[in-house]
Amino acid sequence: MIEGLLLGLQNVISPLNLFILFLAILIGFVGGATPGISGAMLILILLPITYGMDPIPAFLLMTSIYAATVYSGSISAILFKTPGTPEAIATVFDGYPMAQKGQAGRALGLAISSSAIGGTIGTVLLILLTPLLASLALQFSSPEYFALAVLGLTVVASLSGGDLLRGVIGVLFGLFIASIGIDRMTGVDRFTFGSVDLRSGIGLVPILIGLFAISEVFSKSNESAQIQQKMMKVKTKILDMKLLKSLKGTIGRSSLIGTFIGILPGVGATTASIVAYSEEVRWSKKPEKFGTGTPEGIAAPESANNSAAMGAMVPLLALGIPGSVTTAIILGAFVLHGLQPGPMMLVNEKGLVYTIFVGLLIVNVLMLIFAKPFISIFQHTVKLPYTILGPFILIFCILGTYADRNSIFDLWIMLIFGVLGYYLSKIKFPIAAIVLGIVLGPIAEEEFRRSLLISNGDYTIFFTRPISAVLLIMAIVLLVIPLLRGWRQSRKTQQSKKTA
Amino acid sequence: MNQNITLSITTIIFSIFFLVMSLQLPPAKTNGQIGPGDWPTWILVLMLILSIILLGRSILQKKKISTVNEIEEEKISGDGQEGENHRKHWYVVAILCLYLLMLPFLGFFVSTVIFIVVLTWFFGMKKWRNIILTAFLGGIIFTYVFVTALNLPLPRGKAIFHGISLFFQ
Repeated sequence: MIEGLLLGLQNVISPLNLFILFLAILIGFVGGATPGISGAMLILILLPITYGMDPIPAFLLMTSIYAATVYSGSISAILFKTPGTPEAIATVFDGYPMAQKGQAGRALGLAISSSAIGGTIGTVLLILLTPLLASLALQFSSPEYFALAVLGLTVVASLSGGDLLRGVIGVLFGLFIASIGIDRMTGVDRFTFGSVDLRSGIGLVPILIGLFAISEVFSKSNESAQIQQKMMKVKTKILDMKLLKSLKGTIGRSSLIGTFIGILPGVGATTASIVAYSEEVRWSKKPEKFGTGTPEGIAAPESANNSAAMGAMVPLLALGIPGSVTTAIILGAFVLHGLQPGPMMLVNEKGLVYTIFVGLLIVNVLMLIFAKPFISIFQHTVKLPYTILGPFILIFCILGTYADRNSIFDLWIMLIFGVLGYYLSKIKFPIAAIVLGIVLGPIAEEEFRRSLLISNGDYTIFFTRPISAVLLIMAIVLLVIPLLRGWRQSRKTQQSKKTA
Repeated sequence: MNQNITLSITTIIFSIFFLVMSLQLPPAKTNGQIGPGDWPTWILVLMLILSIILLGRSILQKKKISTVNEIEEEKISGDGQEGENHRKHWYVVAILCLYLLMLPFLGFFVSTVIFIVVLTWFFGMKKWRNIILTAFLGGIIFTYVFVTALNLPLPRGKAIFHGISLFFQ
C-alpha cells in the first residue's frame, strides 16, 4: 500500500496534475457554494471536457470537485440559510443562527476546519478499507456478483425516504430502462420499436443529466425573480485551536459515523450529516442549545458529511457499486473512460486508484489554505444572476450529453428525463432509486443469467455458495427491517389512537 | 396523496404496455435457461403488482384523510410552498425542443446564439445590448472550447448555415 501511495504522490505532484487539482478545488468550492449547483451537477457538466483527457487527470478533477463541493455547501448554508449543496442541509440548523448573532466568520471557520478533519479521517479510512474489501471481492464469480448487485439494489430501503413501495417501484423502473436495447447474450432486440438509436440502449449520461441537471433548471425557472443575496463582509478565522480542542469528541464521533454511513452502498453524505447532527443532540448534556447557533451543531454535520463523501468511494472503488448519487455519476464516468471499477481495478489500475487517494488527501489539506481567498472569490461570483447561469448550464448539459455518443437522439432522451425528473422531484419520488436500478441492472441481469449457465439452470447455486448466500440474506434483511419497522410504527399509532 | 394515485396509474399502464411486448420476445433456446424476455417480464410483473398495491394504499389513505381533520391532510401532502409560477418550466421545455429541432439545420453556433438570446430574455434579462452580447460571447466561447479545442463533432447545419459554422470555428 505504501508503494502505491508513493506512486500516487508521484503522479499528483506533476505540474499538470497539481494545476488540475487546484482548478478542481476552485471550481468545486465556488460551484458548491452557489445554491442550485450541486457536486453531481458540476461533475456532469464537466464530463465532456474530461473525455479528451487521460484517466488520471480526468478522475483527479472529478473526485476533487466532488470533495470540494461538500466543503463549500456550508458557506451559503451559514450565510444565506440556503444550503449550497444538499449535503449541507443540517449545517443550516446552527450555522445560520450563529451567523445571525454576528459570528459568521467563526461559523465559517469552524465549518471549514471540521470539514477538513472529517474529510481527512474519511480519506484515511478509504485508503485502508478499499484494498481489504477489494481483495475479498477478488474471489467472486457470477453468483456473487449477482448477489452483490441485489444487495446494492436493496439499498433503496434507505434511499426511498420512508416510502419503501415507491422506492422499489423506482428501482424496477430503472432495471427496466436498463434492459432496453440489444440483449447482449442472445442478440435479440428488446423494446426498440425498430429504432436504430434504441438498439444500443438508453445511455446513462443523458438520463443522469436529464434527471439531475435539466430538471433543476426547470424548477429554478418556476421560482420568482432571483433572490438578490446580500453578502456581508465576513472575517473568517479558519483554525481556532481552542474551539477545535473543545469539539474534538464531537468531530471524532461524527467523522466515524459519517464514514460508516458513507460506506453503506446507496446512503450518501446527506443522510450522514443529518444522522450525525441528531446523534449529537441525543448525546449532548444541553440539547436545548441546538438550533440557537451552538458550535457542536456545525461541527457534527460538517465533519460527518465530508467523511461520508469519502466513505462512499469505498464501495465504488472496491466493488463497483456506487455509494451515493454523485458516486454513481463517477461510476458512469469510469465506464465512459473504458474502466470498470471493482476488485480488478485495484490490480490493473493501481496507479489511478492511488492517485485518486493521494489527491483526495491533498484536497483536504489545501482546503484549509485556500478557503479564505475562495470565500472572497465566491462573494463576487454569487452576484452572477440566474439569467446567465441558467442558459449556460443548459448548454453545458447539451454538450455533455452530445459528447457522450455524438447523438442528437440522446439529447431528446435527456429532455424527456429532464421533464420526468422535474415531476418526480416535485412529488418527492426517490429519483436516486431509479439511477440505482439503471446502473446495477445490466450487472444483475447478466450475472444472473451467467450463473444459471454455470449451474445448468439450477437456481440453488445462489444459496449453495457461501458468499453469495450471505450477501443475499443480508439483502433480504435490509429489505425486511424497514417493512417491520413501518408495520410496528403503524400499530403503535393505532394503539395510541385507541387509548386516546 | 392524489399524486400517488396518478403515479401508480401511470406505472400500471406503463408496465402492462411493456409486459405485452416482453411476452412476445422469443423464448430461450435451451431448456433451463432464461430467454431475452424473461428478465424484463419478471421486472414488469413485479412493478405491476407493486403499483396496484400503491394505488390501493393511496385510495385507502385518501378515504381516511377525508374523514379525519384537515390539519393532518396538510401534514401529509405538505408541500404547499411552491414558487409563484408553476407553468414557466413548460416554456423552457418548448424552447429546448425548438433548439433540438433547429440544431441539425442551423448548426451549433447559430442555434446556440438564438437559444441564449431567447432564454436570457425569458429568465428576465432586460437590456437588449446585454442579451446580444451574452449570446454572441457565449456562442463563440462554447464553439471555441468544444469544437475547436476538444474536436467535438457538433452539427454544422445545412446550406448557408454550414458556412457560418465553419467561419466561427
